[in-house]
This record gives sequence, C-alpha cells and structure tokens, in this order.
Amino acid sequence: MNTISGLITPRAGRITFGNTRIDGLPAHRTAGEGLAHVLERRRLFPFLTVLDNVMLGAHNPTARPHRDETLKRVESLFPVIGSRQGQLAHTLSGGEQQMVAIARGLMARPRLLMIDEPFLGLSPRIVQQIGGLMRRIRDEQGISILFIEQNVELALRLADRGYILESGRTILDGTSATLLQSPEVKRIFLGDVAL
Amino acid sequence: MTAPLLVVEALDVAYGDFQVLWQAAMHVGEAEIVALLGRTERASPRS
Repeated sequence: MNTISGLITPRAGRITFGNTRIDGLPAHRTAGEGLAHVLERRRLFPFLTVLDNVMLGAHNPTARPHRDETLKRVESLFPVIGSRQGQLAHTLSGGEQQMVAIARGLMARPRLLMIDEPFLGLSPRIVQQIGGLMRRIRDEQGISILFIEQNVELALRLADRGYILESGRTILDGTSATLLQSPEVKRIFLGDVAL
Repeated sequence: MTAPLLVVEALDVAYGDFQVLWQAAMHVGEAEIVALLGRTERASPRS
C-alpha cells in the first residue's frame, strides 16, 4: 500500500491507476491523481483541531477548489466532524480519530481510498460503524476502497474480493464468498477452525 | 467484473536489502471494496 501511494519506490513492476502509470511517483503526485491513503494508526496531527486535520486532506490542487462542497459531503457521513470541529484531535476516542482520518482522506476527492488497518484497536461496536461507513462511501459516492486487515473474517465480510499474502507473495485471491469457503484460507488463518 | 481502476503487476519491493514483496499482482475495480490480508509481519501488505 505504501508503494502504491508513492511512499516507497518499487524495485520492479508496474502500477497503473486509471490510465496513468504511477509507480515511482511521489506521494503528493499520487494524491493529485485521485488516490488517498489513510495511514495505519490514523496519524492525525494531535494538536490541530478536527477541522484543521480534515481540511489538510484537501491540500492537493485538484481538491482545493472544491473543499467547502466536499466538507459538506464528508460531514454528512461523519457528523463528528461538525460536532467536534474545534476540538484537538488527540482528545478524541480511537474510533473518532479513525473517522477523522478517513474524512481527511475523502477531502482529497479520491477515486480510490486506501485504508491501512481501519479497525486496529477499536471496539466491536465502532468496527461495525466504520465498516458501515466504508460501504456507504462506496455505495453513495462510487469510491473504490482498498484496505489492509488482519481479521480475515471481518475483512472478507466487508470486501467484494480479497488477496492473501504469505511471506511477501500472493498465494490466494478471489471473491470474498469464495475465500470464506476456502479450506486453504481456514488452514492458513484459523488452523482449520470453521469460519 | 468491474473495470480496473488500479492495476499492480509483477511488483517487487524491498527495504534496502530486505525484500518484502515478490511479483505481487492485484487489481481494484471501480466502486469495488478489496481487502489485503497478510499472514505474517514479513508478509504484511503494507509494503
């Protein structure tokens, strides 16, 4: 994911986004192409307000002219942005911080939103809430979502498709329904325990 | 299948001498939700 967003340069291979080859492009260029990356553990600016954190997502030249309109759309998905806009980010709960981080990503008006471990350290209730919001982002705004998750069942129940990596190699991929039924997936992740 | 928005082909990634991805390939379609699942830290799809 870091390679796709331009934080790491690949040693070999090709990454194409839309009709543009983006491997080797720096992160600020990939953001302008319509790709947003929500980093693991949120990475908010703790001593900036919620609103300042969110608005930073609209820094790229493609998104900046539309930032007021985008903010309204983001606030409708995440009411916490409006109700807590003057609050310092570090005073929010983990779930609220994750919502702010995703909202910041959406401010870039991406076509693809990449989220690194969106559910890390969150309670089951908040996990369910954020999973529902991810579906709404796709259903209502048509934004594609790529996310990393360690919990295989949770991930595959949310995703349309999945890729399973082992020791740096793709060993399985397919629709979520297929992978959830796969004996190989059960063996790899659950030691033959039924999903 | 939805039209591919993101296509990754034969991707090798390393941190210095430590290679973490070998020939990775994947795609994400328009309005599609895709999960990356890694079994070990070394295999983390974060790279």
